[in-house]
Amino acid sequence: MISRKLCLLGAFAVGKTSLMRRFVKGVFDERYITTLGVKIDTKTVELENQTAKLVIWDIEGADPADRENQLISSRMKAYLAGTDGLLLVADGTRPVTIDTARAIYRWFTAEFPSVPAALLLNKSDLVDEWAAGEGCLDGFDGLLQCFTTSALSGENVERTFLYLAEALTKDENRADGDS
Amino acid sequence: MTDSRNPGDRSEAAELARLRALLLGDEKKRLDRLYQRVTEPEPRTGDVAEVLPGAMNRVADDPVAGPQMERPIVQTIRSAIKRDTESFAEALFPVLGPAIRRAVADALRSLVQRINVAMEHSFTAKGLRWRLEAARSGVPFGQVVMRHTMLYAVQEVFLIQAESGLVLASARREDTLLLDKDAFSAMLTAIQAFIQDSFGAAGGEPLRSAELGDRTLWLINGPRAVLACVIIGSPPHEVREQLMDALETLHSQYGDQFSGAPELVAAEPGVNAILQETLLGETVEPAQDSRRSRSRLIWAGAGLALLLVLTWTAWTAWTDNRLEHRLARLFESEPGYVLTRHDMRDGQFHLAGLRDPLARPPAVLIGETGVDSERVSLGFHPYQSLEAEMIERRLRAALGDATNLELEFDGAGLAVRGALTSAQFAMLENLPGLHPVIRSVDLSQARLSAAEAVEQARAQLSAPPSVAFAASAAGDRIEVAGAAPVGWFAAASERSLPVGGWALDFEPLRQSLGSRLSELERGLEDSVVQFSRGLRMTPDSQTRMESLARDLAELQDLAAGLGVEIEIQLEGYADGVGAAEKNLEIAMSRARAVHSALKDRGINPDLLVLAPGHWEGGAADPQQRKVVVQITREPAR
Repeated sequence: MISRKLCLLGAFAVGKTSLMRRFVKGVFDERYITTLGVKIDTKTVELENQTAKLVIWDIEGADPADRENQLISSRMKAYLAGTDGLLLVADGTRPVTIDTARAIYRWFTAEFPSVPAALLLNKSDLVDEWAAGEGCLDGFDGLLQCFTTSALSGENVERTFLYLAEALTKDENRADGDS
Repeated sequence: MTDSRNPGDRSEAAELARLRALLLGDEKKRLDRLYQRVTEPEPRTGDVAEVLPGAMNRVADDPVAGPQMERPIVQTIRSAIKRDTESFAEALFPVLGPAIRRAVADALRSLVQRINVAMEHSFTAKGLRWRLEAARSGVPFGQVVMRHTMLYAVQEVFLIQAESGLVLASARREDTLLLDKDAFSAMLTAIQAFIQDSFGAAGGEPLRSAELGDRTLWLINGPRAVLACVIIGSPPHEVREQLMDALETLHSQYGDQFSGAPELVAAEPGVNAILQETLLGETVEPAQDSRRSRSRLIWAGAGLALLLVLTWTAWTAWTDNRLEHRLARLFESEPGYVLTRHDMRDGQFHLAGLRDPLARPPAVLIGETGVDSERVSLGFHPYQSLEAEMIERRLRAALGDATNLELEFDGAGLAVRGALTSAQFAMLENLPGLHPVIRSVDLSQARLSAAEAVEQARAQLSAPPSVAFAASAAGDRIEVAGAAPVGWFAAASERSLPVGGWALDFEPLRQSLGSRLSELERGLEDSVVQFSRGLRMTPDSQTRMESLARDLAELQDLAAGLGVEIEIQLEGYADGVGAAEKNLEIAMSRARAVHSALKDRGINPDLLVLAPGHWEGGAADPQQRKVVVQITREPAR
């Protein structure tokens, strides 16, 4: 069985931890507890051709108020080291979080040019309250896929993780050590 | 030479070129080639590369040029290290580790030496036990002390990709609780990152260990991978060195793969083997316990074996000693043996001394003791024993067939009982003068053998062939039987001397003759000599008179020989015609006539008695003209 590292990154309070809990444990907790540092969990998934163990790093949220060059702290960079895939998470109800995600993505593609990344527009259960509109996905060139998800209802959560898992396990560059 | 010149110049230049070509010829081409070689970088690089190694060697050996060359090289290396410290550190990692550890090991060895010295004078029971263990195992005492103070076990090891925190490979003991090793190693990596980040520039040094209860987590950091070790107890520092060794080996052999896919590293058997080695032999205390119990077992086993061997040896020695003495006693008491030496060597019983050839064979004696004859080594020289039993045995051997003979030797005199041949008699009679010990031989209870005695009796008595001699059924006498002239019988029985110690018993012959006597008596009783008239016998009676006389002669001989008193009564009869007196007279006359006739024929007249018969008168009976013979026995005188 192979194992791959997958990081969740985005602005704080966009639901990264809830998405991970939904995916790994299949539950949702209404309480909000800020993640400091990183939370790590694992899940074994059946992919198209193989079984893989995903080691999911739920990294603390970035502060949208920070300037772009301060958005990614040195600690976040250390957590991201060696990752095989990135799930950028943004809150559809807070457009600023999409901006943060965009900024992170820009930085990420520069630092990890060959690592696949996907965007999750979370809280689809509150889609009526969404402020995000057309053009919100501009500036995500080369992005693998964008999903609307809901940690509360579980919509697209499994699908998103599996999609990225398939993508990163097919990534041949990983074996060459060029991450 | 450029095109800016005028045509006149060009023709002049062409002229010069032609002239040069004419003057220099091939040299020109060579010069061109040299020019090209000097001015173009590629050929020059090739030339320099060709001579550079030789030139460098020469410079290194040159006392002036060498130091001059050193400076720029050192400076270049210094600036390169400053520029790219990481690469150099990574390159030197597999080299520096062992070198440093070797130095540390040397330092530790000297420390162990000091501990050794310090412990030299400790006489605690534990110290002495450890010292004994050191002496037994050949391990320095200090190391034994260290080993006994180590109480730890490396339970689980993870080889973690330094960047991602993914598990490249892992190994664990069977009794280890299952952990989510991926989450564990990822979190560990995150903590590493967190701590390093938290301490900023001062946190450049990575996390090395963490402790929780009796568990210690050791992180051995390499450039591309981290070895995380979960340890129970307090591991000594040298364990970390061993773990570092393992990580260095992993880096040197598989380091290139550490940045790639984890599963490729996990699939390397070599990686897993090295990781496994970091677990084995690390559980010191239990191993020590098992070693100790194994050692105890071994000692107990060895002790038991030794005890068994000692018991067996003692038992064997005791048994052998007993057997040796049994053998010795038997040979010492056995007639015909003189035992001068006996001992037990190399599992063999050795017996030596003298042996009479007539003594019982040694194998028979050994067989009686139950000792394996293969284990007995004999060294006996022949001699002649003067023991009574051996003298008797030797005599019997000399006498030949002497089974029924009884020999009794009292140390000086020999008594012989039983039947002997005349040769044996002769030998025994001559013995006192020849034998070293026998002074006299008593043959009074010995006698000649029956066969020889019979022959001797027959010869001495001049017995006729009709006489039979035979030993009696009881074997105490020789019986004389058969038929013999009564005269021979009388003479022989009269002598009746013992022959060769045998008494002669004539009774059978006497009975035989007695029977003949009785037979004759019966035959002669009432024999009648018939007269025809007067004193004239009838012709038949005259004829019969001869046989009568012969029988009577035999009768009288037998009676005389047997000592039987007999009386032959001749009763005269008459026919009764005439006067009684006349008849009586004639009757007596007839008796006298027979008496006279018998006397003439050799019958002893003393045995003959005349008597008148009794007959009835008054009737003439010619048959009564007769003499009747009556034989009567007198009681023995």
